[in-house]
This record gives sequence, C-alpha cells and structure tokens, in this order.
Amino acid sequence: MQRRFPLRDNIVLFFALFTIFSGCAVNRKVPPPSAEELKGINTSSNEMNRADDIAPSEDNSGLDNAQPLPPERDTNITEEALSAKELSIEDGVPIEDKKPLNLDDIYFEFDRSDLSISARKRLEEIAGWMESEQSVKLRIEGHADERGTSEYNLALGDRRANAVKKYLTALGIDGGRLKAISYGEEMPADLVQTESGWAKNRRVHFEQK
Amino acid sequence: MRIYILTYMIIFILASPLNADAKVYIDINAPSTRSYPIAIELSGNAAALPSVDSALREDLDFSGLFRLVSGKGETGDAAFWLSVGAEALIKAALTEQGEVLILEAYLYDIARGKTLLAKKYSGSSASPSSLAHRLANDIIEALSGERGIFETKIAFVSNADGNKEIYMMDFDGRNVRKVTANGSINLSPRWSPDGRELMFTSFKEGSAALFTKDLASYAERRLLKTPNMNMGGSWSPNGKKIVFTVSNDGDSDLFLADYGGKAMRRLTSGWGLDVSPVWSPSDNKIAYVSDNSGNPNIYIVAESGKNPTRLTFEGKYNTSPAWSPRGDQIAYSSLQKDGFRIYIMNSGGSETKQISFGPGNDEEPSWSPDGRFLAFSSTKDGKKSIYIVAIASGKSIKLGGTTGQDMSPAWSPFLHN
Repeated sequence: MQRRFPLRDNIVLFFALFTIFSGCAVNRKVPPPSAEELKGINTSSNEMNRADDIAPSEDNSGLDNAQPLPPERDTNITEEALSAKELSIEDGVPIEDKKPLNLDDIYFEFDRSDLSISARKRLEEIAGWMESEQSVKLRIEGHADERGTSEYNLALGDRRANAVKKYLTALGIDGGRLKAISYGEEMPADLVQTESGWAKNRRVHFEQK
Repeated sequence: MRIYILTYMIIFILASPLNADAKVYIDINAPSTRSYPIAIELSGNAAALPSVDSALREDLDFSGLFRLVSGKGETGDAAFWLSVGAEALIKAALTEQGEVLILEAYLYDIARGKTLLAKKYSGSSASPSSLAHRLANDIIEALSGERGIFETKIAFVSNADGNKEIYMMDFDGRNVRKVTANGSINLSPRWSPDGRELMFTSFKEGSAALFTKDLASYAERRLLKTPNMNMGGSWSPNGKKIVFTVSNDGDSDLFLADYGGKAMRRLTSGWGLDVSPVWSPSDNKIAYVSDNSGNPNIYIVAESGKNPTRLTFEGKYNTSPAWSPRGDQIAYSSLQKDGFRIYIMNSGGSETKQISFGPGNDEEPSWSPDGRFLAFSSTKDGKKSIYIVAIASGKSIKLGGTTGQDMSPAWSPFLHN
C-alpha cells in the first residue's frame, strides 16, 4: 500500500517528460504502469504474447471500437487536481461520451494469471473510465476452467481477480472501489468440455456495482 | 461416569473375539492374501432374511479377503463344510420382534473346532443391511485383528439438485443422503478424526469460507473470522488443530489454527498457491499442493513450517494428496496425456505406483480407514461418479451415488456406533 504513491509519482514524472518531448499536450488514455509495478503482477512478455494467441475472439472484439475517453481528459495530473478538474469539466462533457466501455470478460491461459497485451489495454480503458466515473465500483470475479481441483482453481481464480485488481490500482484506481472474488471452476461460462469451452471459462468477469 | 465406564467395559468384553490367543487367520496388510474359504449358514423366519444374507455376502466379497464356499446340502455339519473346502463357518439366526431384528451369530474355526465369535445384534427392521455390516466388521476383526470398514461412510459433493451440496452415503454406495442444503456452492468435505463433524468450504456467506457441520445436531459453524477467502481445511490427527488455505491479494498460503478457528498462524509463504493441506496421521507433517515450481506439485512441510519439501517431479499437474491411514504412503492424482490418473507413492516421494487407468479423469483419491481401498471420482462412464478400487487387486467398483455429477469423495474414519 505504501508503495503506491511513489510509483504514481514516477508515472506522473514519466508522463510529464513524455508530454514535453513528444510535444503532445493531451493524453487520452491512462498511462500504463511502470516496469516495477508490472513485476508485482508477475507478467512476462512471452507469456503475454502466448495468451494473446489463444484468447477467444471475444477478448479482442471490444478493442478496436472501444469508446475513446473525452479529449478533455488529462490524467497527467495529481489526484487532487484531477477531482478539481473533474468538477469543472463535468458539465461540458456530452452524455454519450460517458457511456461505460467494454466490460466483457478478459481471458487467461491454462493455469496462468498473466495479463495479455489486449487484457492490459482493456484494463487501461476501464481505469480511464473509472477515473471519469468516480461513483463506479467494480466487482472483479476470477474464474478457472474445470481441469484440476476445485481448491486449486479457487486459488487460481483469486490470483486472476487480484492480478486485474492490482493492475487497476497501479493505474491509480482506489482499491476500495474494486472487490476481487474467486469462483474457481464453479461458475463456468461455457459447458463444452474442449479447449474452446475451457478457454472461455478461464476469465475475469466484471460486475458494475 | 463410573457406570458409563463399567458399561463400556462390559460391552467391550462381550464384543471381543472369544479367542484370547488371537490367531491371525488373515493378514490384512499383506500385499496379496490367499482368499480365506468361509461358509455362511443363515436361518430364521424374518422377512428380512434375504436382505441380511445378501448384504453379508456382498460385504465379505467386497473385502477381497474371502472365498465364499457354498454347498448343496447345507446341513450345518462342520465335517460337511470341511469336506467342501471351508475353513470357517458363520452360523446365524435372524428373528423379528415387532420392528426389531435380532441376529444371533457365531463364527467357528471348523478345522480347529474353536468358536471365534458369539454375539447378538439388534437393530431396526428398516435397515437390515446395518446388521449385516456390524457382523461383517466383527468377522473381519476376529480373523485379522483389524477393524472392518463396513460401517464407514463416504462424504462427497454432488450437483444433483443443480448446485453443489455435500452428500453422504454408506461405503457401498447405499443410503445416499444430503448433508447440506443451502442452495449455494459447497466443496471439499473432510471428516474430523472422531467422525462426528465434517469440515467443508462453502459460498453460503458470499465468498468461499470454511465451515464445520456437527453430524449429530446438524449445526453449522463458520470456522474463521477473516474476511479473506479461506478454504480446503483438514484436521490434525488428534482433532485439536486445523490446517487450511487463506488468500491474501491473490496469494494463497497455508495457515494453522486451533480447533475453534482461533490462534491462526502462517505455515507457508511466498508467491506460489498453496492449497489442499492434509495432516499426516503418523507425525507432525502436512502434505499439500503448491505451484511454487510453476506447476502444481505435492509438497510436505513440518507443522513448524520448516523444511518444505517437494515430492513430485513427473508431469505438469500433481494434486489432491491423501495420506494412507498409517502415514507411510500418499495417494494423489496426476495429469497424464489422456487425463488424470490416481497414483500412490511412499511419503518420501519414491516408489510411485499407478492405481487407476481411466479412461476419462480419475481424481481426488481418499483412503479407506483400513488402508486397503481408495475412493476417487472418475468420468470413465461419462458422468462423474465415485469409484472404489482395492489397492492390492486393482479391482474397482462404481458406487450408486446421485443422478448428478458426484465428486470429491472423503472416506470416513472408523465410526462409533
């Protein structure tokens, strides 16, 4: 918990520099977490790429047409400044721009909890949306496919849900707005007992509270 | 109190095998024993006679220890039974008094002309098989010196009603009944060492947490106060401590607590998922599953938390450790090319032996309290069902169970009646 603030400062510094050097005044997306933060979520680029390869098509479906955040949004500021700015821009944002983005499930490899590249993009969008919708709370449900024991799969679902929660908190979302819960293999999305069915069950599901 | 002790002593003396010099007719622990030839003569006018007779024969046959000798002119004459190869004779009479069945039974060593058992059993006419189970237990004990498993039960999980509830059945699959009915998700039943309680994992209060159920009062109790996910617990051999998994921010580790769920202390740490702990019946060690190495494997750790040691190195998914009742072996399931299979190894991790051969997935082994059988779940016939395999012979039978998917069998200890 104590780690979060210095890390966020690093992100802020990084993006301040990035903004200066790129000459781009507006960031439309929440910055991705730093390398140190990623270490805490146990990801590696190889695994993430593999996860991308096998993720069911639903995983990618929302990526291209995901609603961009309002152009006024500038996350390159501190939390206090953000909430102040939130108030000032609130009235100017057209309602259709505030609609929630894709909250479809994100998927995992067998016995893994690494976040794929597409999953991380989705979480960055979700984080951006949650920054603009401060009343939104998410319930993050971790699931596993039926192979292996119910106990191991409960632990695995918990690790998946928390990998997502950690990524969102690393992006600046208050952990109090996120509740991780594991259902293990107990609530399959697909009952087909082949890889295509199992792949759909190795997921994190979001419920807006 | 003194009267109770006295009563127990009298019952104990009456129930003991009559031969104080205790010749061992059957070595129950030998890897392969000769089938002991035995004859049964059951007489009487009670309507339940055929039920008791068939249940007794099924029990003795199930044990794998006997050859049931039959003869055409069953005269009750010891010389006749000797002539057709029997070495022992069970002679019993069944009578009915109202709702009560009375079975008066004798076991003779006909070669040596000795009475090994003389006992009167009474029970409700509603469950004639229970009389047969009690007699079969005493026959096993008189001939081998070890207790019989015919009154043991198997707790398991079934989704017969749409959601997973805990169920229970007799060791032979008879008398299936529901233990929980909370409409939630209920998993991982484990017996207390005295057979009076079940521990299980339930979502009935939201997220997964451990509960115990008293099997006499049916009262349920949440074990731990922690709001974190906690699950998959089991008892120490003396019932005074419990070991279980608690998750913290996605990391699942093993913890210990006293019987009441208090005085929690950490047993394992580190990034890996540590689940499915089971306490050795013979020393202060705990077997469990960890994916510290990258895949789930079986480990053991001292109760002090010292010396976590990896036992399995073959295959990518080894899980569900179960200690043999004497603590010298561990059964587990291991993912092979064509599905999960049941294996046994010694408690040091060597002498691995495959016990089940599919097809489908064979998972979650649980030992009979005499150490001669394993119960496990299998999809070999499509639907997940509970099977029992005799370890020495490899012979397996499918238990009746429910119409749903039956899984996670937990064989009871010897039960007091």
